[in-house]
Amino acid sequence: MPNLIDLRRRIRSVKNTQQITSAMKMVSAAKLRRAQDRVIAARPYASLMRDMLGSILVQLPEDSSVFEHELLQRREEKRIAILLISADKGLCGAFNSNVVRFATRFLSENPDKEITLQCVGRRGRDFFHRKRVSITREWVNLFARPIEFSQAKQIAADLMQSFRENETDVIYLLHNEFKSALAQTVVFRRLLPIQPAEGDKSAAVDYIYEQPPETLFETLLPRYIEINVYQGMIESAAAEHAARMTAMDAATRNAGEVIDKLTLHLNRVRQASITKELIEVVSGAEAL
Amino acid sequence: MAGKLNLEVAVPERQLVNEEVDEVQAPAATGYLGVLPGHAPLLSELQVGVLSFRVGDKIRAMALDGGVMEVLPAQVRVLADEAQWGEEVDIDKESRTRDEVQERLRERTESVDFDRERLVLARAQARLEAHARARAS
Repeated sequence: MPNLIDLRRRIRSVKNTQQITSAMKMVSAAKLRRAQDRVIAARPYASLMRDMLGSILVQLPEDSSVFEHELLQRREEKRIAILLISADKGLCGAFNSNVVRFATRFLSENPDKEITLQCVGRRGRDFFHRKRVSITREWVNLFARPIEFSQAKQIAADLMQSFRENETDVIYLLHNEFKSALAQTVVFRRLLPIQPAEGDKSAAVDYIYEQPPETLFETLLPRYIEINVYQGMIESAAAEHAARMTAMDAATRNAGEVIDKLTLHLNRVRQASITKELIEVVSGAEAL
Repeated sequence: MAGKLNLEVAVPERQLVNEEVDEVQAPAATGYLGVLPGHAPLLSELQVGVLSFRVGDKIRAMALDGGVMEVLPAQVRVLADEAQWGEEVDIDKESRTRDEVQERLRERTESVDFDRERLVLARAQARLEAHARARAS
């Protein structure tokens, strides 16, 4: 009965796959929890930073020289750089293809612009490398360990330098955002130049400045970029684990269905062969 | 003075403090700055040093690696680049760093990057100081 042996072999192989996918799911769930904690832990700094920038900007006069800071300068958007954050690995559903698809569409919608990519994560890099899109900088394998702020700082320093040196007019950030364990959304927002938030003028406080506001901005604005890049990266890391967990959960369930179907088939075949043998025995006995 | 200060200290990775305190002492760029409830609104850069605060008669201290501070009458917000609680300082490591840097500075060879070394030294000293103060309270 080669058929029976084949079926048993297939069931065993699917079971193995199922074990792998369910292990990956557990691992992702554990990693997700830690990544989520980091996202939450980073929020106070970011919101303090936004508050502080907002409250300073609100009480400054319109013609303050602070607004001439080089990280705030708007230029005509001809050369666009996109910091694309994807994962280093696959097997996480539509996670990577979501950002890649967004970037591809952006590229085809803006054929008149000079667009360059800076890629964090192997998947995005590989895709656009094959497509021969110009990738000016790339950082791969960062997601193998939990993201550290110093890594984001380095990337941010690089971006700020290219903006300062007028290599690009505008820099966008493109990444997956962690909404919940089941939902990730693609975020696309401008990183540089910084858009001063519209504050409430009536809430303006008259500060004593220990240093001139320009000096403070010199410290605050780069930090602001750094924390934005950092947040993008940890959000993406959390979203990646969430996406993988969901994908692996679905894979485990599908494997279960396949096993059920194959087992049913196997039992039928076995029963058929038993019946056939019985008939042979009975009809052989009758023939005597 | 009645009332309390809400002190928030955050570094990029996490928030270290968010509580009601009676008094804050911060390493402002121009020297240590004491803040009591009802202080005039103020913005200042912070340098490497020790931030301490008092709740009742309990004093806690942490080493800061510079940052920015915003003071409002009932609120102090500190954005630090890095911070470490005095209790968590590894004194052996920090005092070793301090001695090494001091040694290098004493030698005064050409290759020494003075600004950098000073910063490293200041950091180590701030941590040791924070540790000592955390111990003292």
